[in-house]
Amino acid sequence: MALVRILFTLTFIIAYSQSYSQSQSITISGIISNKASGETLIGATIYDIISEKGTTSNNYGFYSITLPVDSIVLQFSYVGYQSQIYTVNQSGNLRLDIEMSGNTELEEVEIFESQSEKDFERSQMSTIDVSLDKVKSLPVFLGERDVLKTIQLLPGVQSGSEGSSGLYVRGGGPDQNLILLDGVPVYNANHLFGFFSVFNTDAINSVKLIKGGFPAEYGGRLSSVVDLRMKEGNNKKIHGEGGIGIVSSRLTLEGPIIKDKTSFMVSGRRTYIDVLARPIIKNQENVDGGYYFYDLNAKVNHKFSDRSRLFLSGYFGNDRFYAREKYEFEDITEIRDDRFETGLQWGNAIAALRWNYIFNPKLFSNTTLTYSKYNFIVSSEYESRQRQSGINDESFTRVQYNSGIEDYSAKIDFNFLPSPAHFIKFGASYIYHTFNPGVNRFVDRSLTIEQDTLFGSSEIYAHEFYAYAEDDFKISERIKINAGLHFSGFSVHKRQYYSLQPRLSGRYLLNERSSVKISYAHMAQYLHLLTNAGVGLPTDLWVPPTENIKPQLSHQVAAGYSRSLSDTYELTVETYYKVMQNLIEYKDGASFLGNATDWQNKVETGEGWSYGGEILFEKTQGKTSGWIGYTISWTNRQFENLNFGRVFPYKYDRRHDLSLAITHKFNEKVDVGLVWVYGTGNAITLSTARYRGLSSAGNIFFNNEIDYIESRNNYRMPAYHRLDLGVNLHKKTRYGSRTWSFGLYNAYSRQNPFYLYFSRDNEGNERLTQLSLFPIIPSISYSFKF
Amino acid sequence: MKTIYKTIFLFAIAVSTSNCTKYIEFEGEDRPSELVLNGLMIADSVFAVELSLSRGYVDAGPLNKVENGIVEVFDEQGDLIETLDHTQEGLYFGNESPLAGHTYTVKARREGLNEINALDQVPPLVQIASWDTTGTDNENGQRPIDFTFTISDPGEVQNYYFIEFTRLGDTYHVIEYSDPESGETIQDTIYLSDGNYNFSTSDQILLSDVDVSLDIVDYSLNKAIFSDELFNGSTRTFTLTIEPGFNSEETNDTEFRLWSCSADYFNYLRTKERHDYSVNDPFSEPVQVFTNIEGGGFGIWAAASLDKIIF
Repeated sequence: MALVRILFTLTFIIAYSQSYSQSQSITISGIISNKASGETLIGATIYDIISEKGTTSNNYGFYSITLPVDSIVLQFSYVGYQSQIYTVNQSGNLRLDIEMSGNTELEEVEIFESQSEKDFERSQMSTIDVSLDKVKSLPVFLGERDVLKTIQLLPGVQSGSEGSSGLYVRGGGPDQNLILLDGVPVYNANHLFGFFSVFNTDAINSVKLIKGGFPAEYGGRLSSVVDLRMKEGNNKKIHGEGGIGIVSSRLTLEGPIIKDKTSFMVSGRRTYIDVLARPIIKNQENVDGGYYFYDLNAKVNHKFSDRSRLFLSGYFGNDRFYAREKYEFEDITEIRDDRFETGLQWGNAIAALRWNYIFNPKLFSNTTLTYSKYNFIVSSEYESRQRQSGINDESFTRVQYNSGIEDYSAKIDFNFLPSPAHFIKFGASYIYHTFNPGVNRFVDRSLTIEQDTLFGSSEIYAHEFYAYAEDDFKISERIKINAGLHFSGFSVHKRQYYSLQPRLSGRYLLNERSSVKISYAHMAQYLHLLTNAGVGLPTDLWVPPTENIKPQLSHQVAAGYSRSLSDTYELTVETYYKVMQNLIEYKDGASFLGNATDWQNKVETGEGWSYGGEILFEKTQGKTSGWIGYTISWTNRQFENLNFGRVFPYKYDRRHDLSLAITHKFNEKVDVGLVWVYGTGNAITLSTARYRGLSSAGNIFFNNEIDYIESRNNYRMPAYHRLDLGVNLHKKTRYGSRTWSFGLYNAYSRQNPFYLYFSRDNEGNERLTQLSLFPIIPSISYSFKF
Repeated sequence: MKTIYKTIFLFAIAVSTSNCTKYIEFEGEDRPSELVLNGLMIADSVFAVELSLSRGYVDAGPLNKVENGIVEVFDEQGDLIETLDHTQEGLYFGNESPLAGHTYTVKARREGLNEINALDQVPPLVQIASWDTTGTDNENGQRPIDFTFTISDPGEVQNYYFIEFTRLGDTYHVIEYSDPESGETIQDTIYLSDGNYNFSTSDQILLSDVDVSLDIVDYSLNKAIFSDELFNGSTRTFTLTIEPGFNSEETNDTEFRLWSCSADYFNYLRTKERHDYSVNDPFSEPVQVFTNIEGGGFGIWAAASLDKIIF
């Protein structure tokens, strides 16, 4: 019955949108793309200078605007591109695909300086489009460009520990970020314990961060959405880019398979720490070991017609640590051959099959089938072959632990643009989850034993769905709101959870250059992450809500002021308050390494809240560009059974967080970048006193001395600050261009705290000891394009 | 090119691993000593308290006992019952005994330190209603004992328990080891008194509060601390298996003790147990040990009633 109702509604909308277009208005629609590559442009602005009405292109470059037939002068704008103006003089609907370029003069087109939609004009708040140019020009750790590291420099976003790619947004945990690659969730975005993210910048087309005021189309996480879109592939000509760095090399190829119809993009990256270290390791007799990671992005798209387009994209990445040892011995009486191998590997695999279909000039649809898998395996095996006094003896032992999560999903999204005042989105999704919260396998084979045993938590199957509808509605010239509803549900075992989540954000234009904004978002998250929270270890365990452990919920309100100081400067000031329920934390004494105890017995549930203010001052154009971001915030947790029920600060409760990211372009050949970050030290738990415990009643304790801990997260690490510098030297070459990049990470070699512990000095005194990871680290990399 | 990369790699390794630890100032370094009071009120035994001093965490000095303190015990009306006498090494004893169901406040002070206080209620005695033992030799010639006991839990209040088995009198263990110089096998005898027996159980009530930090499959315990949350107000029989000692003479009597604990004592025992298991494990969450001492000090003023049998 519900399905019938949905189909009826859909038919009505299609019919309505057809009939609406036959009135005294015309609808102009099409795809906006880059002239040089054919890549669609997301978020380009379409503005009618006469009626002063406008819209933006969606995630697939599609736009639609319905205007009175009288006279229409459309301006198309996109950051970094030159604007184009079209005069429309016809009465029927018009399909107008736009190819934007900064260099080509077009017939019937006038070229103006770009006037894209400014932040203050949008109804949404707490949303930042991350410039990929900035990602590529800012100094980077070990020469590896990293989208997530750049996002960490934005206000409201905190990094975890030194070098980590983890995101902690407005007091939320690392599991509360919906990281989407082409619309598919990526569960573990870390390579090499979080020092690098899994995203190869060369393969990325656009990045958007949403910290609050979430539109209804997004759901499933409490704190942020990081929406990354992969390049579609140049459909004009073969193009490539790549680079060689200290730790890895990368190569991206893209081009047409059938010009203007079918294109591909493939991008790969691999580290060679293992290859470089091999000669050193080989000096150790019989020992071999190493580490590497690789990732591969690929995408193919085919345009069936102006209305229909198909995309197939995938990401595959893996990290692997391994160590091997061999022992061989032979004499007259005995031959022995022993082998020991231990390994740790983890990785994501995701795939998406997407079909864009334009029903009519006002109704756009996107149907997606996705697959996402994260798997972590740690194993150790020992094999022995022995022949003694003519008798053979063989044995093999393997201990393996693996955990992970696997999703299949289907999703349909519609964009409906009945008039310039409305941008309606609606859709639904279903996800089938398979959770594997930790299974041990023990294999033991010898002449007398044959054992292969599985134990630990069994797989959990769960169903998740959501449906949403939202309208970006311009009520008047000054007031624009984005209102929506997101309804979701989750079913695991015999337990069902449902959540109706209202979303609202709006802006009120104060004048032509500034606005005030407000937003409210209620979010539900049907996932928990058991994490050690410090290092980005792959031991992170994704677990579902259960009968005992409910889904995470949040309510966030935010208010802000946005001002465009000129065409190049933008100022955003926001304040927020967020409450989170059903958070989980490890119990006192619980170890994240052990897995024999069911995970539910190791955690406590409680609530948290965060509030604060953020300032982002940005210079978007000119030779010198960049931003200063500042956050002041308070983040607390309260659990009935932790800290004796008292409030305690969250580990990443940072009172002050300041970041400065600047690039300066001297000329076409040389540009420099600078990043400086400062953050209040993380909160950790340390004993501050010791005293004797109760020794009567049967002398039940081995150790009668107690380390006194005043409160969970009672101690502050020293503040974190760091300066990174970089210079890029560009040159045109016969085949295209090349860039030498030189960088200094932690230029003044600040010893930043990674971990604090007590140890004894040479005189036997107990001292607080700080472990730091990275002093000044120079880097060099070579990039090329053709 | 190969040489360049090798040089860069070695340089990167060298700079990234050099000078990565340093001693830093600890804000709690100068934390002054505070008064520590530990006392367990056992119904029908005299009041007894130990006073000592705490130290800052990095202060390597001993945890000194306080011999010149004043310890007073008050009843529910705030009337002084008695002042405890110092006997030796920070131990203070009284002449009066606490009664089950009554609440007592303790106050302690010493010159130059804050006066501290705490209160707790002595829980009513829950008796061992019945018990039994059975045992057969296993394949190693040892005799594990299956022990059952039954209690009737009072329904109107929340009750807390801990149980333990104690070997009475002296016994000894004989251990064998190989002399590293001569290679000969040497036998050594270790004499023990009042040691605890380990036991195992599959009873989910007894295991429901087993420390999470154990994280083991096979539960072998020397005590079990549990609440009546899962059997409040009912009569329940528990079954345990007492493991035979290794190479020991099993001729001594064994005492089974059932402690009825106050809530504060239960919280202290639970958190202290977790603390002891995790204190040196960097992969475990740190544990806060429960204290009910007010006024700027540490320790526990706990209460329990004891029932025991010998077999």
